[in-house]
Amino acid sequence: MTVDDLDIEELRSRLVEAENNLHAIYSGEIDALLLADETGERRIFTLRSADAPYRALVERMQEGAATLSVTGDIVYCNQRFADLVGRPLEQVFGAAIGSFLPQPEGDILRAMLEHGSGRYQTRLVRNGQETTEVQVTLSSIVLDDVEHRTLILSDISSLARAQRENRSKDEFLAMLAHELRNPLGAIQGAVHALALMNQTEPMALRATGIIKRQVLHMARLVDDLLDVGRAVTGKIVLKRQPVNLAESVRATISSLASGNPNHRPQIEVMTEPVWVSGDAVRLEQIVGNLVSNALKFTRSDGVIRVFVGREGDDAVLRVADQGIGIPPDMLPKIFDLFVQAHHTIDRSRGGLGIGLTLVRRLAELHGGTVQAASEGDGRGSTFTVRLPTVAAPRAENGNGHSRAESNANRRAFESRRVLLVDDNHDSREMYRAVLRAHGHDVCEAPDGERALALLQRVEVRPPDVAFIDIGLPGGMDGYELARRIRNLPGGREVRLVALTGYGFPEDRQQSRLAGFAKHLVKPVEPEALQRELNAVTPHVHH
Amino acid sequence: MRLYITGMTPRSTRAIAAVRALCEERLKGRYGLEIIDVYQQPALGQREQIVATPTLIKMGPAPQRRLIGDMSNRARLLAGLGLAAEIPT
Repeated sequence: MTVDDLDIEELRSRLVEAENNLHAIYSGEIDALLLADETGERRIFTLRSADAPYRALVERMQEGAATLSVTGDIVYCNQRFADLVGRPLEQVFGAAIGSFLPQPEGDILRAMLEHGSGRYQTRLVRNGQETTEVQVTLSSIVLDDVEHRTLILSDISSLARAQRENRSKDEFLAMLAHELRNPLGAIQGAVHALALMNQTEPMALRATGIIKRQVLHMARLVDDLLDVGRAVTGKIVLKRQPVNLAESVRATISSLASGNPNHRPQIEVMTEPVWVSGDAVRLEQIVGNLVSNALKFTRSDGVIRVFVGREGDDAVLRVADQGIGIPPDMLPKIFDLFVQAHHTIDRSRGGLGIGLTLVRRLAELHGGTVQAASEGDGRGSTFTVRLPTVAAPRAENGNGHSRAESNANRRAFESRRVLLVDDNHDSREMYRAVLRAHGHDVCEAPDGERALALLQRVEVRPPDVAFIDIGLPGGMDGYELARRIRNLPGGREVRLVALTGYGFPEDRQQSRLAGFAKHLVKPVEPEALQRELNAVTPHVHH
Repeated sequence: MRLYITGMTPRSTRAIAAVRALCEERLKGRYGLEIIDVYQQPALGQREQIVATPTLIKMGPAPQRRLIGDMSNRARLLAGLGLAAEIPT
């Protein structure tokens, strides 16, 4: 073999190689071509097989996807996008994105296109009608050195419907609680009036006691019902101050543990003083719910142990019962809304399963936690609340406190003139009975017009205190009536107290603006009425 | 040896498997194989003047050989690498 022969052999095999490689390219055996552009830079051009997974991903995704020019013309979209806007693909390509979205929101869209990113919720427009609710998400990409926008349409109609339904459920619960409060208020008043009668009949005394306790219990349930909705949606605002948790727990338990001690579990309370920054009313709710829960699930010969103290930097409240316990698989779920351990439990134990949800939310609002522990069926449960501690406030002025109290007690015996405006006949009657039983002078009206007429009669002396229901019939609500009373001669001397079934903060705000000194949520305890009366000095009438 | 591919396509995976199997069988202990995704390392593709993927380059011993396309054809792969065809035993 000569050198020439070798060269020829090499040339021949190179030719074969080139021929084979060209053939492979021709027959599509390759994934991509790498070709130089005008700058000499090699760019990758993929053929179908390399591109297919991405294409399948984009075509099959549940979101509508489109590539737009920076001015909003659709240069590419997937099938889902065409389905969502309700037009065939060939009519969507080249169309302006604005033609599928509501005109009034054109500015938002233009700003997003210009800015290159953004997200908003709207409805798609089909034949001039607004249809599916969607979330529009815009971002930027560079394709072939040209800036483009990518737009994703997500159908959120079912999510939005669920949110609406959830909202109307909350509103329904609030209305229900409101409607329940009015009759409860009347019953509470009636029971108080009964208690003031000199009853000697043991049966009547016992019945009165039962009604009183049960109504209080119902009022608490209604409060929880209303609060749990607000707690879940984050509408509860804490009024924080330093609170001695031990005192708060003892006070709450003594109010709960009424009734015959032989017929309920024993409650052992062990406390050491520990201070937290909290809302006294909400802390009582936490304690009340945990102890009621323990009472509900413990046999009458059992013992409930309540401990309050400091562990490290935490103030700890622990409620341990000897009840039915919690199975391990239920422990993580026990604080979820409407979950109650053991669906087999006797329904007579009642409960909506909202108490524990409320406890957790309230503990969290205080920057704390709550945990449940149980060794299982029949072995009892222990609930532990941990809250951050704060330093005890400087020695409280005990003397001043007791002097104020004795003043209040003294004044309690003085008679006041009271105006009562409420369209509910039973409520009015009960407040009247309670107030008269305490020796006060009561006049009343079922609506604003008649209340004003009453006040303008010369022989009627202006009242010291006016209790006014906010939801009055006729054209004048409680706020308007309050404003009119303020404008009467001597009207500014009258202490105005709002009564309402709604306990929302925004209502309190409105009642303050209307000139109310206080806003009481029904059912109003007779003691609360008395406190309002004690807050004024009786007018000296000449 | 260098194998240039683009992403995880069926053809890439087949090429990797076929080249590795053949080298293990015929060149065990005497070869090195680098697999380069030109998406991830475009500069390397540029350097070798790669025009299509998959491409297999036999760097040595001389002469250098290039094979473009389907690597699962064993006879073609052997020829492309300049290796002797199967020797019947």
